[in-house]
Amino acid sequence: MVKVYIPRDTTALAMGAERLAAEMAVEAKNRGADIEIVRNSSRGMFWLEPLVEVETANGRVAYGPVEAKDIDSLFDADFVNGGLSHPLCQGLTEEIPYLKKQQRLTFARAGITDPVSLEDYQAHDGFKGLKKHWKCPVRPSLMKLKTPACVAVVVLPSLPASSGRLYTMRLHRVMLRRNTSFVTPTKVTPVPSLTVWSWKLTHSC
Amino acid sequence: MTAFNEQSRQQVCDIVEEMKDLPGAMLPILHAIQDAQGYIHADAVSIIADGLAQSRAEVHGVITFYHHFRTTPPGKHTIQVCRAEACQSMGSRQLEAHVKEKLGIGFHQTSADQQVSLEPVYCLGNCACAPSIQVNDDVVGRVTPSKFDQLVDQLSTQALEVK
Repeated sequence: MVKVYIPRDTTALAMGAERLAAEMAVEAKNRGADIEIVRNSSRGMFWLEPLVEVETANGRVAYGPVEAKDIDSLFDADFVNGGLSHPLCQGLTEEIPYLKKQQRLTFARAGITDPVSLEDYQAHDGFKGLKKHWKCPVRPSLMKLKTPACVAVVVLPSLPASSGRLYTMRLHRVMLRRNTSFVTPTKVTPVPSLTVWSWKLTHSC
Repeated sequence: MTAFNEQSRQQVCDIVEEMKDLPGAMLPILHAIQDAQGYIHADAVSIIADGLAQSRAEVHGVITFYHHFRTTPPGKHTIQVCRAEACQSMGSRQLEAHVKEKLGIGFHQTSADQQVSLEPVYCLGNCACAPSIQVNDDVVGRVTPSKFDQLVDQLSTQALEVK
């Protein structure tokens, strides 16, 4: 079974992903191709939506922007096995310069997993930070969590929900003041205080 | 669209009763009524006002402040054309002119056969693939006049099939 990814976010849908997925499933059946269509989120390359990706041994191969009328020619070009001859083929997704030059943190899993599959989330390091945090006897720093701050904060056992919000907001404020982008790898360490949460930020690269 | 009969009145009363204790209940109530009935009938205003212990003028003020809320029945399909910056920079004004000509109506109007209502909208969040329109619940990106004509033809074809 070959996994074929077709996004289901607003922009992909606006560019015809729903019809594409339905017609591709029908065509695969007609041709006896054994594929599983996974509806992922967008990789963010909206000019290529709908971006169809096929899982191969070398990584995912991307085709885009794919319209329903391209389905036949994609099958003819053996896209199910990552065939590179189709004019819409963009090569390995991870090698597309727009993606390759990015370091994604909060969006690290966007487009990679099936967003409604908890198994998929866990297979991609989901809940890892949370598990680590849970075992920690002292309230740990955000650094240790390595999950999006808003997710982590909501579940912190030692903090009531209201201070959880404060925790996130304050972090955002500090980051803004330091003109630090969220995509810049930043080491965040809490400065201990009984009354005020403050954070020390240092760029790690 | 149906008139404001006893059933519609009961539906509004049920919605108000169910949601009136929410913090900031007015907007959720208005949304629920419009989602259920397609618009907010003038007779619903006093029911909402009574339920929320506010004046009819206050309810009317909220309904007329937000363009999303309508006080007349919509056509069978609603088409929204984005008029925000990204779409304008990608030619939505020309598209808008074409849409009005094709449908023979302006914004906030419904075609004579009650098939299509045309509404402006200010950003559908699909700027990267502008110009965008929304047909009922579906956003459509990079709309050209010919793509728009196809969409409208599909809508009318579906309508014929129903008959």
